[in-house]
Amino acid sequence: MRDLISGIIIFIGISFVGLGIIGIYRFNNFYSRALIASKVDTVGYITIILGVMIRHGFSYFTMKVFFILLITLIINPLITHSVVRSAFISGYKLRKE
Amino acid sequence: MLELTLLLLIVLSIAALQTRSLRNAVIYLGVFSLAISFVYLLYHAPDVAIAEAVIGSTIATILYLVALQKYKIFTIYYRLQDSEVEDTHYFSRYKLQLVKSLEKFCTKQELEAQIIYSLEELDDILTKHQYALIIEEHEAFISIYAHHENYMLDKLEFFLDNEPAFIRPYRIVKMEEIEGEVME
Amino acid sequence: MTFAVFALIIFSLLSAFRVLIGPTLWDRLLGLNLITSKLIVLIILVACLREESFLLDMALVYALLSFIGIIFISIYIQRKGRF
Repeated sequence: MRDLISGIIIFIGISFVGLGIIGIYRFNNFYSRALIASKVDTVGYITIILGVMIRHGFSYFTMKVFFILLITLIINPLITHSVVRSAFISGYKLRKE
Repeated sequence: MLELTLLLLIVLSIAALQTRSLRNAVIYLGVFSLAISFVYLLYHAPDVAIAEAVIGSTIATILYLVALQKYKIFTIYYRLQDSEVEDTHYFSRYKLQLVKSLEKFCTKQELEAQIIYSLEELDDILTKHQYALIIEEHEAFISIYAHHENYMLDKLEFFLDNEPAFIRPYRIVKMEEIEGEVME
Repeated sequence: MTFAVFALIIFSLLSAFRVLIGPTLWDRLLGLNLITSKLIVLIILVACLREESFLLDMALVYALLSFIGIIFISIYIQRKGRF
């Protein structure tokens, strides 16, 4: 039973990440790509890691995975912010009409 | 799934060797070290993988960047008009020709070319930023602004004369320093 | 689970293609970030499949180190070559 539930949740997460990949190739403006890469992918990782935690139950393994989830949750938007800020400051000020 | 990762390794190493810009090569090497540490993991060697991740993707990147600091950077501002469709994909043929020949010149002189597309006014770029060349496009010709003490200018003129003919003619304008700015 | 591992490997290959063709430098940095985070999830899935909990230490090391590397490169570009 627990395997089935975790499998469904992991599949939902994989489909989120796949939507992010489609978005990377779909847009041809840098800022839209950065938006897609930061938001959709973070949601996908949270869902996949939740599925892994449900599959393993309450154990030492789950605690470590939870720490990694916390770190990823903080770091992933921070990196995207830093890259976009670097692009904006060094003069990539193109906007599409 | 091992074969796919090994294929990725080959493509990335060839790209890191063949690219012209050195900063792109640093990024390709970062991806390469991440992928090769995943291959170590698949071969049941997690300790080697940790060492590769620490050394390859962090310390080597920082060392390469510190070494790149010794490399001179040639900053080129490209001023765009407001009405143009502004994305890199839509640049027309004659623009790309000039930019490509400038990049070739920088590679020959052992400089790192940094091209910035900007919408600011010409005076703003002159006063606020450090520049080597400013390129502006008019109806019939392209004008290249440069400071009159720029010691690369003679070599650049000589190089552009020997290139095959451009679709739009270019004109080099030498800027004089305004005295009021020096006082500030 | 095996399906998830295969799908993530194919997705990370696609992001590596974005790194190769990206028109600007920042596109390549974005692709590097995507590959790193996909690799972290991939290591977690492999550790779950093999029931080896020491592989998770590698995922922690990856997450912390990729942060330092990418932030260093982006600050380097932002200050135009001076630290």
